[in-house]
Amino acid sequence: MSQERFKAEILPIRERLFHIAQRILVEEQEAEDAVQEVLLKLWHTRDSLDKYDSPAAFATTVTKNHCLDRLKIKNRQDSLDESYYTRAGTDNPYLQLERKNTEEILQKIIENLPALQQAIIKMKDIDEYEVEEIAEITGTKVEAVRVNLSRARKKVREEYIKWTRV
Amino acid sequence: MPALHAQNDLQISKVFEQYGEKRGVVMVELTNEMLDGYDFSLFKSLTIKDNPSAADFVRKCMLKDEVGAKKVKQVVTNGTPTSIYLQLPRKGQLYRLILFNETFHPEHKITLIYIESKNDSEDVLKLILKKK
Amino acid sequence: MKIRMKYKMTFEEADRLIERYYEGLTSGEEERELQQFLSQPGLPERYEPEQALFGYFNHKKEKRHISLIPYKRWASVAAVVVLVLVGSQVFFIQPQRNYAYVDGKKITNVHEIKSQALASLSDLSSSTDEVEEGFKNINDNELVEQQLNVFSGLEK
Repeated sequence: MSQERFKAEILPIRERLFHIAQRILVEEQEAEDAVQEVLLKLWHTRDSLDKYDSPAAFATTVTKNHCLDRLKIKNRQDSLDESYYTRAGTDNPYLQLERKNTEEILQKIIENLPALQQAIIKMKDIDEYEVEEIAEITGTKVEAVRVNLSRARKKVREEYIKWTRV
Repeated sequence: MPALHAQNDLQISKVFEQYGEKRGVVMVELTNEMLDGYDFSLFKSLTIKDNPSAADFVRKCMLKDEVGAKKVKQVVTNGTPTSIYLQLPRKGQLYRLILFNETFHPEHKITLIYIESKNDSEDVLKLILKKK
Repeated sequence: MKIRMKYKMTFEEADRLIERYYEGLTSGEEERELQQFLSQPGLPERYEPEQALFGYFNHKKEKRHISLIPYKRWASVAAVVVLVLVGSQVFFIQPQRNYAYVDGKKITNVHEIKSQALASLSDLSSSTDEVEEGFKNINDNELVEQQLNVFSGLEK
């Protein structure tokens, strides 16, 4: 699916996607973040969107599933269920950071950023999109993208220093 | 034929290699695609019809791959496990699943599916097992 | 003959750009200039995090559309592989692996491939009616064994 078609077919239903997200996630800001993540997801796989009879319907499915996933992660983090944390003990990403080289450390740090920040920092710093382009794809204001980008970069620096200055 | 890309350590990769392009077989590989709204980093499936010896081979491979894995589901029919779902140790961020099913009616059919996903196995299984 | 002076950024200018970078305010062009600055040898230690970060992203950029695959596996890939020279390193372009084989015949249409994928998933689930019950226990990773009466057709 071309850029133009993406913008013409997917972006107009952004509000509908937001309502779906809000129904599931309740908090407005969370729903907003989720919608942006979904749009970026769809953007990155736009080549195969043509294969669906209704890309818009597919987009709503993706939104629903993405939000349910988010909710699940959020509930796990809120719950006092010990078993999750002990099970996750060996998966704790930060435990694995020691003994890794710089590249691996940065990779891990970026992978552990919140989903939206991760998506945005990769689009800017690796895929070399401009902030305006990212704003267009996610249907947001440039300032909103800038804020997330700034947070992501600062977080990466902070974590990097933390893990390399032992 | 390309081998399972990061999973050379799995015995079932041999199954894909040996049977993938044969008659009576359907093999699928998808990388980094969305299926039904879910993300998959890797999806590989194999459906083999009318080949009981293939079933034996698959089961032998799965016994080896079972080592260190968690059996999250098994359905036993007349004393034989006809469905086996394995959750393999994670590879970095990826969750990995092997799903196996053998049916005898109306025809003999083996289904073998290998999935790598950033999403929790539970969600992947939800997709697979949802009622149509 | 025009002599081009290579523009060398001062520490002051670099510091300012770095501050803007962390505010998300730098353009792609400015970031490229920063990258140049940070790739110099012998910079003060305070630039180390930025050097690491920019170095990492730079490396990722180079790998963006290409993937390194070991020679052995490359030799067995049936699809077309293109050799690319980047700097002094050789990369093999690996096509995205979406395909299906039906009775030995290759399908490359993504729509059809996905249909086949979904069909295989439904093959898996069609014989498991007791699924819901087993599924609830998955978090505990319980082994669920159930006996099914197989309607073998031999039973009347």
